[in-house]
Amino acid sequence: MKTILLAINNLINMKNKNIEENNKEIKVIEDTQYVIIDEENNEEGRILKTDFNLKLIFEKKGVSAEILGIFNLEKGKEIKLVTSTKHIASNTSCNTFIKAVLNDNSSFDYKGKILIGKKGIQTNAFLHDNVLVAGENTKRNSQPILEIEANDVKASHGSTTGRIDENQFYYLKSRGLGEEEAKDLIKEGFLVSLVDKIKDNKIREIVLNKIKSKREYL
Amino acid sequence: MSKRIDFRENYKEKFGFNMPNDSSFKAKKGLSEEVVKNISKIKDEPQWMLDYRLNALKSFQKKKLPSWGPNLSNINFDDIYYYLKPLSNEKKTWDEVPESIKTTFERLGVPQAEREFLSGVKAQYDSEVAYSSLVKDLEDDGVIFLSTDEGLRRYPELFKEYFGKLIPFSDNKFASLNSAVWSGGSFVYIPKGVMVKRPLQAYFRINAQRMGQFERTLIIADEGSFAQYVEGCTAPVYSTDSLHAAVVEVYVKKGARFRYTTIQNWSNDVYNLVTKRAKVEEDGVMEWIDGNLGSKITMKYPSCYLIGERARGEMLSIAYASSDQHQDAGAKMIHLAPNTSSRIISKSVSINGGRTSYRGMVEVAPAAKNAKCRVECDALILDEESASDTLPLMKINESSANIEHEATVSKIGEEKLFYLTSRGLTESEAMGLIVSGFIEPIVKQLPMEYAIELNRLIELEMEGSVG
Amino acid sequence: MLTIKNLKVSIEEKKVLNGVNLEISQNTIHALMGQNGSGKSTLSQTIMGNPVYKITEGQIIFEGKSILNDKPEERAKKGIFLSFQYPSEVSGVGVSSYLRLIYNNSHQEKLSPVKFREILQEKCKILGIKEEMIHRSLNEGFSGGEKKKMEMLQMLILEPKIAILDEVDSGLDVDALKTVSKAVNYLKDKNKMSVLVITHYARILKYLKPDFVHIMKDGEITKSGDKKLAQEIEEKGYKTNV
Repeated sequence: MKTILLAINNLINMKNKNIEENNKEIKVIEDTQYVIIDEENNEEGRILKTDFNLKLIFEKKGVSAEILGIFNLEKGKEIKLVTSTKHIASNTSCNTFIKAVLNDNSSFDYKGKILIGKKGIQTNAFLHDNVLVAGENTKRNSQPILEIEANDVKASHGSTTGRIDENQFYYLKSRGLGEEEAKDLIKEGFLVSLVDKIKDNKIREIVLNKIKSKREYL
Repeated sequence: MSKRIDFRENYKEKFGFNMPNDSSFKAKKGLSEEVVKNISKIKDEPQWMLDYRLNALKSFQKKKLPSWGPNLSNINFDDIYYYLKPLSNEKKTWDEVPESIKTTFERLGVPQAEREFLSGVKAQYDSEVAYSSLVKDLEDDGVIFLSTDEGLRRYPELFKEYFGKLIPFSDNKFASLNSAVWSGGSFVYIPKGVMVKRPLQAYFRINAQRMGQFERTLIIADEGSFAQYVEGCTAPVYSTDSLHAAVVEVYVKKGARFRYTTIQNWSNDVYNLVTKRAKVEEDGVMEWIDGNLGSKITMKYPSCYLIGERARGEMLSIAYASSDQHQDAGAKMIHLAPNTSSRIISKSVSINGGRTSYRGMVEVAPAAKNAKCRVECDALILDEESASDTLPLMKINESSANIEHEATVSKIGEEKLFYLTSRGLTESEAMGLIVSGFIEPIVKQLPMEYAIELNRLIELEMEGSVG
Repeated sequence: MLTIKNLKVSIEEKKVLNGVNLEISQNTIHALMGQNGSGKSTLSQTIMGNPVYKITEGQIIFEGKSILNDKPEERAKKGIFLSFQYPSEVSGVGVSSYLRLIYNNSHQEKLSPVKFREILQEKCKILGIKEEMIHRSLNEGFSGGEKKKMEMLQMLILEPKIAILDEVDSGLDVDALKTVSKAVNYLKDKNKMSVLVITHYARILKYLKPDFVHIMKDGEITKSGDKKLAQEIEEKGYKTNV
């Protein structure tokens, strides 16, 4: 499975310096993993609002794909993300995993569509959208959508929104970690579970560094 | 479904069925100011209600059909009787009733007199004495349970205080329509601290002429009270009306608990568009239980506005869509106060080209600290021709909220079918068993007669649909 | 009673049974042993009529008549029972009412819930099944052992002419194994029921004493013998014996 990194706002790994690539429609022809991250800064400074729309079309039989969205929203950041997977050939599969950490005053608006047409027999499609709230004054919209017209399929989605688990927090503090350190560790751990799924080593490194470096925000 | 109303004269007076006494009124199709004025005049309503209806009419004429959801463009508003139909339209003989309807009655065990009523052959039906004893108990407790028309007449202040405050006529096009031409429905008031043990059955309030077309129901559950309200039935109900636009407002006061159960199985040419809303105060609990089995198109999203601390809203819904049916149903939970909680469980089944759509909204306002909500939607698509949608929306504007949502769409696994048929069950028996098991968590919350009938109905549907 | 002639079966173009021959008469216990992937489960599922498996050649004859065109429910009514290796979970379907349903389906005289309760309790006793299990949903949340007991309970309710046990011993401790065997032997003694025990290990054959033992490999029965053959497998494994 090949991996493609889509860094919104500032496309790393691609020669194209255009920032306006907010809408991508891709016909999936081979097993591919799409990793979406948000590039906080570009030449013009910090970007507060990010809008991104990814549509995957499965017209070729037997193809499978994965979408991994890994986001750490710093103070005041707003991200609007739409992903949709359209299955109109048989035996395709797509798992979408989206994880976002919301810090103070940030907002995450996510719409995830799974569309299975009559020809999408034996489609396997799953969508998981999990948000960890780690600050105050946050906003979050979640719209996971299933539109299914074939019956021999497996489709499901899940969405969760919640604060840091008190038990986890307490456990780490009882091992001597300070409040902020414990929080950072939990936030990282939350996102790292998705990073571990990235198959391409170089890309995994890039994303991992992005997550870990954020300790400097204090 | 075994209790019936007695239509004798004194009963009518006592329980609020008024037949029009204006012989010059002629039933006619279409909606206009004149029709609305006549409705209000016949009912002898106070001026404020007439003004309300007229304003609602203006709103209806201005508003557009919703831009989302099933296709409603085939509704011909001019081809509908908005009040009283000529009686001759109702005449029908038992022989004319379709075989499939007769078979369903047979299988559900519906008594003959009821069959004739439900299928439109008879306009009225006979009562049992049992009903009057229920009413006596209610009266002793100070419970008010009347038709909405009678409620307005006898308790004008109470009525005016609550009517139209939760669902303003401008809310949506069909609420406007209902607000302009409403007739019938129930007015219920449960006094403070009163626990009503037996469910209040709305079936008492219906007669053939006003088959709940534009029912308006207003329920006030005062502090600390408990009651249940049940309407509809699982047997297919024949209706001459192609449009049903009902409005239900429920006020659950501090510490009160109310459960509203609806099972609808309207015939397959009916558009069933309903606006239902509950306002829940501190420590109050509202439970909606919804069974959508019939109609051509249903659009119904019972909602709970959780405005007091620790208020709780619950919605259990079953949707069944067969050929040419689209059940577009769901729920709305709006969290407006701290420590509120809600739960939505939706189970839908589509077969023979039917389509079920779950449309839900969970909104958590910034003041609603520690709000909790859990949504589970499961859909079974039984064959290749059928479809299902899950369209939830969660707007979470409070950082301490904990919201979970899960949905699955699947078919009945071959393995499961084989397992059950290998034990001697036919394919349709096996499917019936699996579908019954699928909806069981909700069915067990229904009054027993409904639960039994619903399971029999599923069996019958499976036999009819599976090869 | 059950004759299988040159049975060839494929699933999704792949050949899984390559000409199986087997004959099981009344009141006998046959053991079918073999490694994973040898085709043992496929054979049992095919006899029961799982539509997923395509018969490309051969015959299955039960009590003198071919059952190739019979649906699973028809085969069940004729007296064939399969204890599944992986029984399905059917949520929301209560065990007690389900069992009464399949009982009434297979008996001329239908029983009311009260009368059926008595019969059910009797069968539960044989298997040491506790009251609370019959109040649960069919197989939902059941452990491996509980699922196998539920299969045996259904067998006792249906009283088949032939019971095919597909790895009924997997995941069972010695006590459970004895209980399961007790149920099988009970029906064998009562009704002269035939049994086809499919297993990897010889352990269960201490309690269900086979009259014949067959070894399966690559979709065919390669060796047949009596219970001594099972002992050889136990001692020397499959490699030397096939």
